[in-house]
Amino acid sequence: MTQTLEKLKENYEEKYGFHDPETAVFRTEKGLNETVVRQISKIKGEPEWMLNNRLKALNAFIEKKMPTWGADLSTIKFDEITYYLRPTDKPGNTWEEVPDEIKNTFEKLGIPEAERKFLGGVGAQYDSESVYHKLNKKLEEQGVVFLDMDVGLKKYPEIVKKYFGTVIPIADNKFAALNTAVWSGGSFIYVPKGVHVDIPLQAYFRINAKNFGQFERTLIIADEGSSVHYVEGCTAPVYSTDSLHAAVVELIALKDAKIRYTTIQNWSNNVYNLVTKRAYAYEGAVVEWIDGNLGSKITMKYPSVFLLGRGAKADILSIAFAGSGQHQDAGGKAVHMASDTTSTIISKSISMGTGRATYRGQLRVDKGAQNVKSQVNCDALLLDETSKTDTYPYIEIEDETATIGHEATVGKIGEDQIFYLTSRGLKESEAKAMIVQGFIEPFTKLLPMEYAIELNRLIQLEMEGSVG
Amino acid sequence: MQSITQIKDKQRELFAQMPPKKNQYVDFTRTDYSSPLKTTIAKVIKAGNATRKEISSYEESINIIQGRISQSKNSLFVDMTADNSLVITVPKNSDGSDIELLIEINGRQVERNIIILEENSKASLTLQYSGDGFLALTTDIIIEQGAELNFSEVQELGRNSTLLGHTEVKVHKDAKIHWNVITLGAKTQSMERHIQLLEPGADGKLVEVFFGNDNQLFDNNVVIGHKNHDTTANALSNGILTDSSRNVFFGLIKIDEKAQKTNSFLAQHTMLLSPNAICNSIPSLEIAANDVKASHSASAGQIDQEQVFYLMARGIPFGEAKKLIVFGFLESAIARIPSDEIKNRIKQSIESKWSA
Repeated sequence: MTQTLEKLKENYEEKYGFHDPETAVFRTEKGLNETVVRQISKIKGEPEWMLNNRLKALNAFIEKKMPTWGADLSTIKFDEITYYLRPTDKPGNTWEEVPDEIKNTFEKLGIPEAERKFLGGVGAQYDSESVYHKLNKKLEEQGVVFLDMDVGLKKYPEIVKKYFGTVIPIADNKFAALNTAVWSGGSFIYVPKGVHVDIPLQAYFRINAKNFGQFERTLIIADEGSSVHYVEGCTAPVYSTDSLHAAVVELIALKDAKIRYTTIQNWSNNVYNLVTKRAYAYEGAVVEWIDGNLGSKITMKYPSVFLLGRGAKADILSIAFAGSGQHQDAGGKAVHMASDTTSTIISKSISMGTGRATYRGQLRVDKGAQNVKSQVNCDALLLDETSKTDTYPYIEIEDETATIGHEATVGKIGEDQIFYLTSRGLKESEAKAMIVQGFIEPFTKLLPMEYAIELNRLIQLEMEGSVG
Repeated sequence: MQSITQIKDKQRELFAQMPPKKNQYVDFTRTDYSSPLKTTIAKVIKAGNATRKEISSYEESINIIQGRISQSKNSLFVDMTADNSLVITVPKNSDGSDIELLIEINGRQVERNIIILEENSKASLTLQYSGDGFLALTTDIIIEQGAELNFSEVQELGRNSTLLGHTEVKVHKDAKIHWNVITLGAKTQSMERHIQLLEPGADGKLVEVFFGNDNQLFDNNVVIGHKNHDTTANALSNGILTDSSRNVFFGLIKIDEKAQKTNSFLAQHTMLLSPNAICNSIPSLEIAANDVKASHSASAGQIDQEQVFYLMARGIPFGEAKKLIVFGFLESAIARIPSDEIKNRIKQSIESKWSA
């Protein structure tokens, strides 16, 4: 086991774990108070209403207690964290404009290459600020907006004001309040009526600084009959001190629109990942959360869909890979508030070493929401004697016409499966990796191809040497 | 060794710290925990070859139980208010004791029962609740090595009653419990049912059925604790809700680190027969061992129209077909009650509830 861990650490450091010297042009003092919040707002030259939002949220953050359920968050030192750090003076529209050190980082991660090959648009965020944002010309001409949130607020203040904080209110929970108080960066996407964005838009989030908090804010609005697929990836250097990532993501799928939101979260094992993600799905709309959690020290994240209009549909697919020292507390929520709505939640988790994977989900059918159909499936694989898994599905049904099913299973890799594969010449580690890949296939097959390959490679890496 | 006063003080402290359960599902904050309550003892209708004993000292009671593994607001409340207990002991190697206990409430009561099955004994125990009022009780059941218990609970309390209870079953090596619960009465019920599988070969089966109407509120908690390797459990909760009734089911399978090679299953199914009925179901798992099989399932829905159609196609009228399906749904627990007399009575009360 120790071998695996070392191997894993080595590999992470090599591929994602490097860090550049911190060359920030501006940073707020450590800790959080009103001055810091005002400073952030001032630097960004924000309208008054946003500053007021931030101040209200700061109070909510201070007043709200830490959650008493879920993972252990008592070790977060809010006073040690830097809440805002400006890496460069101006975001670029071409990679040439991005400062060299930062560009190197993203080049090592293969982002510019990926953009050329298969993406419709790319955003890259480095610590607090977006350093690069570019959208495919064709999409731009169709009226698609893909900007970093700060620019979005400047260019489209009415749209932002109309939707910002409507899906996730300021005081929704302690970490959403924290995000609202100090948010910086993130993506702002608007897809006009009837436009289909058929190649994925991608954002890449990178934490470089130590003891730092990244608080990006994403807002995606898909207007009537449109569709979009957004992909985000996250990594950070390996430090011995902890960083905090508390994002807020709001999705609005108007009538008959479709949003697919894919996350490949691969933070280093010193990041607390506490994210609030929620979507509104109106009549006939489809929202899909495809949520992969591989990295971080602690993740608490439950992507939600509120089904507000007749015939809306939610698909949540969550996979969690908890290695030693990690606690992945993930899941999904579907709240049915309209008739003929359907939801599917599928959760697959793998716990390894001392890792712990928790599924926590909620399925709610409001009174008067008729003929709702929902299915929730959770499967957990435990690879070692010290691994742990929990399942907490909350089911609340207030309408008698609902048809609800829930199933969960927990098990380990069958000896017979390993025997079958090893008798065909595979090494035991290869056999295990293959079984794990098969276990999460429903997830991988929904990813853009190159992500699926990358994910399989990561899993192979994590599984390597896990025997003996 | 702590003195009894210290223990009681500790309980009072814990009780005060533990707020009445209040969440989006249930609200017990208005529950009247105040005294005076009279301590009563269940009526032993049949004892078979079991012995009965009344104990008036709390100290002696807790020595017999050797502590509870889990505490709840309900169990703390009983422990701090009552000293008396009824102890039923089924002697070693005895076979087929048929025990019937009746708890009749009348006013505000608190009660403690202790049931012990000595090694390799077999018994069936039926516990009936009737009358009207407020009852808080704990039942501790200890099933020693190789013993087997068929335990049926029949709750037919009056419609203004409140029932707060905690039952904890400790199952030792190669011992078994088959537990059948039928919940029909009371206005509000909050029950904790815990099965602790302490030693290899321990097996727990629980089948609970409920039928709620009017504004009945059932809060049923089931915890299956796998404390050792090679233990097995199967828990099933089936129920029907009409009018404005509500059932809250919190189920937990908890598998400890050393409880390898265990097999556990938990299922909850509710039929909603009225637009105002509400069902909340949280079947959870906490698993710390890897070589285990654990799964759960939950469902909620209306009466299966295909089944209704099947019966109607055979000449059974709609109303009758619905009734047959509902009764069949409840039958799984009722069938295991040994006494025909009690069985028939339950069927009658379901019948009258159905026609109401």
